[in-house]
Amino acid sequence: MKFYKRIGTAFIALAALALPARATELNLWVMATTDSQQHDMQALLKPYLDRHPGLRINVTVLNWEAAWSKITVAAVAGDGPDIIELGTTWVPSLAAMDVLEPVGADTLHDVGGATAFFPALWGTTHPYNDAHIYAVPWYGDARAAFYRTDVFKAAGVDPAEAFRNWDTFRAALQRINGMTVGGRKIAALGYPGKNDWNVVHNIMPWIWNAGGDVTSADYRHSAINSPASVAGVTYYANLAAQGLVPKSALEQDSGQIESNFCNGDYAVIFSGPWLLKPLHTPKARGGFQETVAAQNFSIAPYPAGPKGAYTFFSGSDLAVMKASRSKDAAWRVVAYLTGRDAEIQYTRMTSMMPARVDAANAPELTADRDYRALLSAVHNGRHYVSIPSWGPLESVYVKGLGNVFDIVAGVKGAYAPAAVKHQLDLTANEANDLMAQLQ
Amino acid sequence: MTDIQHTTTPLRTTAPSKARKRRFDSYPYLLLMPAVLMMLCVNLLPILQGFWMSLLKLNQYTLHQYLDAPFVGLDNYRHVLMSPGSPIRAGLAGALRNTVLYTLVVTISSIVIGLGVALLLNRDFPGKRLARTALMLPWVVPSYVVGTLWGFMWQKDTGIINVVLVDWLHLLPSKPFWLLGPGTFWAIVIPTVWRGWPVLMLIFLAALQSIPQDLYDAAATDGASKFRQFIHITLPCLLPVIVIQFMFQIIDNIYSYNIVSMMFGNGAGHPGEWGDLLMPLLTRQSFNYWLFGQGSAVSFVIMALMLMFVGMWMTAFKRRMTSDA
Amino acid sequence: MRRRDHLNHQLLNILTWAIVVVSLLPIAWMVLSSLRSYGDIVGGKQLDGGFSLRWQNYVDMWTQVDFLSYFGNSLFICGATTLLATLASACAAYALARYRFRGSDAATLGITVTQVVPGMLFFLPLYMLYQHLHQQYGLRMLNTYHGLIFLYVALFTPASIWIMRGFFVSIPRELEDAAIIDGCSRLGAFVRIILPISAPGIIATATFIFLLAWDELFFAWILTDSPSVQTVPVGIRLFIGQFEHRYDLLMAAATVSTLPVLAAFFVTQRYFIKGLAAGAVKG
Repeated sequence: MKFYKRIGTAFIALAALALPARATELNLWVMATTDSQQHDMQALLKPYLDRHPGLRINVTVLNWEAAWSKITVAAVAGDGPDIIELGTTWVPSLAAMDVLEPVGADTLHDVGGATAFFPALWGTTHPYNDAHIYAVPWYGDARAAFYRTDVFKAAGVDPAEAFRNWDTFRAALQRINGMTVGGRKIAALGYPGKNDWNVVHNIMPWIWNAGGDVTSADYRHSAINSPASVAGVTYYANLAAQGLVPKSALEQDSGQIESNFCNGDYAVIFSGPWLLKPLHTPKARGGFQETVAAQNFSIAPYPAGPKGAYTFFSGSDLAVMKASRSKDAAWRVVAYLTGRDAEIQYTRMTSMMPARVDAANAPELTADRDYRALLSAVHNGRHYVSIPSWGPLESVYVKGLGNVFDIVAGVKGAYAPAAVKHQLDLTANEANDLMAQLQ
Repeated sequence: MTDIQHTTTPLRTTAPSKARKRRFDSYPYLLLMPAVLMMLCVNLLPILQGFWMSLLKLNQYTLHQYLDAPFVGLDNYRHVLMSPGSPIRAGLAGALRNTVLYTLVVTISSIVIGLGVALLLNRDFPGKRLARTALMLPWVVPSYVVGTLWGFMWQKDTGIINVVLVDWLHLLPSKPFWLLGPGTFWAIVIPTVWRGWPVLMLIFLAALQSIPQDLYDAAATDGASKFRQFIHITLPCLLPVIVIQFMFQIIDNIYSYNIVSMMFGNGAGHPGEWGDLLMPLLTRQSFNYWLFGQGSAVSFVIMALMLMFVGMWMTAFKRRMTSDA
Repeated sequence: MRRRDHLNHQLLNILTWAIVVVSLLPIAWMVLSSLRSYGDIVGGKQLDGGFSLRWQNYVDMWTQVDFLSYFGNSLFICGATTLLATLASACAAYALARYRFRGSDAATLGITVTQVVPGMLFFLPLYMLYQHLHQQYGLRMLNTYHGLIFLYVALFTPASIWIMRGFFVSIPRELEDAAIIDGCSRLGAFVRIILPISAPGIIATATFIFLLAWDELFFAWILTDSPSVQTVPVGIRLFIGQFEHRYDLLMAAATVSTLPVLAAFFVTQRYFIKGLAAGAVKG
């Protein structure tokens, strides 16, 4: 009996040795960027998982409001995912909340360091006054003008001239506005008003190009009502006040403006790389490929203002949370996802742009004409200052700048540039109060 | 089933009160216990912690310390109630005005329509089962879908409501804005009423069913008109239910959030001066900025006000709402 | 006299059906939108497509997100919540409606207090509580069915207690007292006399609870992470993201998600027949 017991124990011990080591499990939170994000992430991670059989990655898909709540509880509770996708505007705020693990030297080396990524995006990986890097840029989106080539041709407008500077831009719009093309009346320009999450991103290039900014140079006060900023906002708002943007556009959000561009309502809109996906997807799969707009569009940069020709360049970064129990494994996954091949593959899935310079310049991507146009806009890409209070500040500006569009729409009394200035003053006050709170 | 016999004075009317004073009757406590235990678990601790949070400097920099964040006593309360620079104050007056108006209009409309339709459905007519089910549909649609759906319906140029009002029925000369400007008030009131009255109708219908038919028969024999029957029989019997529903409707509407948040930019946009309600404002101006200390303080102030309201309501209608013991 | 009654009856019927139709117009719009592409929805062109309906949306909605999973989870979680909450609140409401005892006023006050707590206030403490239970006692509450069910039952019981109490109060006491004189126990009187009479009220309350649970989005999102536990509201909400706006699939999913409740409601209609309530009281 004893003999059999001994054999049995030895057998079990051997069997235990032969079993694979307990699998590492990682949790990854991503935003819903494609319409089947869960499947796409599984496809993206598959090559990596094939090479690491003991690894399991659980993907949770969020959209942005849920992300805020969940990150907040994770910050408090000290749990949360291992890897998280964060919008570039959020990283400084979360770094200040002490929930992100600084990127280690190995990972920095693996991903190629600061020079491997676009400078505007690299700037988003840490607060301006903190030398530690807290995230690695994943994908980017630069905004540009999408315009109808057939409408421009019919109006005799040269696109290069139209987008040269603010004066030529307005002149071109005036020529196009109200034309009938293919039996449809078309408006010159479409942009959303306040019912949109993009309010600040939409208006920022116009403020920057007039020489303004959201905060003063010392980051302590709001500069949204500086003369330069006011000039930028006024120019942009005037486009609608002069009827170059139909009033009904002002109650829509970005998605609706983009869809209506595809439906043929506007000759010009400002959008980003994500619009390429529906433009290239057939209607049967929920896209607009067969529309006149999709067959006749091109991309041009923002017209240059008096003080610059910037565009808004943002995107998402990947970070590892302090609460993660498998940080090394998590960083290796981050290095994989921000590597050249994975970024190219993700670009194909989402039609966003890689954050890596070498991936962005890959021949298989630059073969596409529209992609090249967006890539050239990246050179003038600019992002907000990386201050920890940007998260809350953006909310204040969304509201304050949104109210400017109400003034333009005429629902708050007659439109007058003085009213715009007044609204910006109110916004600056509220922002200053908030910044004082957040010191 | 034995015959139920009416006796004029059931024997236990006086005995139980004496019996209760003499021995401990555990029966009602046992009935109450499951519900109370659950509510205590889920509500008590969070409320206490929430109150403690309102006494702390809890913002994005101290959030990870949670309950160990610096203690500031009543500073948060002082700040939100008295200091004009508090972020919460921005737009608060407008939101309060909107919320009060919104609550009154929605509550009264929902109750009146719910009661009216319940009376209509309380009769026998062809297809009544289908009608009752169909009328529940507005309430069965998820609330955040209602916001998106009506957001499309309220569009100025292409929305179906303006198309019907202006192009088809010519009731208005031109298409107004509903999602911008003063129209936003009606843009949020109407979907809320549309979604809210079916459940009230359901509850009133159920209550109408338990009014004994012989009360009506007796009144009809005495020659009372249908209208008098309504005033003297139906309304008094329904009053407990109406009073409670009125209170709940008010509470629900003051805390209304889902429809408003989804209608304007799918949760991202700001509804504007006439569409902003209390909860969206507070969520946006405090919790979204990670100012948890102030957000908690404001939440407690609102809770206190609501409790006062409920207290006054219950005192006024106490006889109607409790048993007649 | 008879003819006028008949005419009134017909007019009221017409009025009733008119109300039904007007009430359902937005629903019709939602269903029509679910059969169009989202470009058509945004452009307000639902009426322009004629009969070329996009049934494909009803297929795509199950594949774009894991909707079958969400649907099944919701059915289970909301069903369990309804059963437990109805049971707990019926007992509690009966106790409060019929008995005055020490603590009944405090209980009533407590129940009311829970209704005026803003949700924003207690999502953090609640999450911390669930995490604490896991860390201290090994009881997993986050990302589980029972975690959500427990929360929902606790959240929705108070309002249900109030509603059912209203129903119980309007039932005359004589009924139970008579039964007790006949030899019934108090519990027996409750179960065999009161419950059948208040069946419409209980069904109404159960429907109410089911729908509150079916519609609940915020806590479903906070307390869960994976599609194996998440519910329909989370799934529906995922159709609209920052860059993807599949309103057509959203409308299709919303339509589909109304069906279980409607079916249940249609089936339980007979409890609203008047006879059942009246019969027990007539001599």
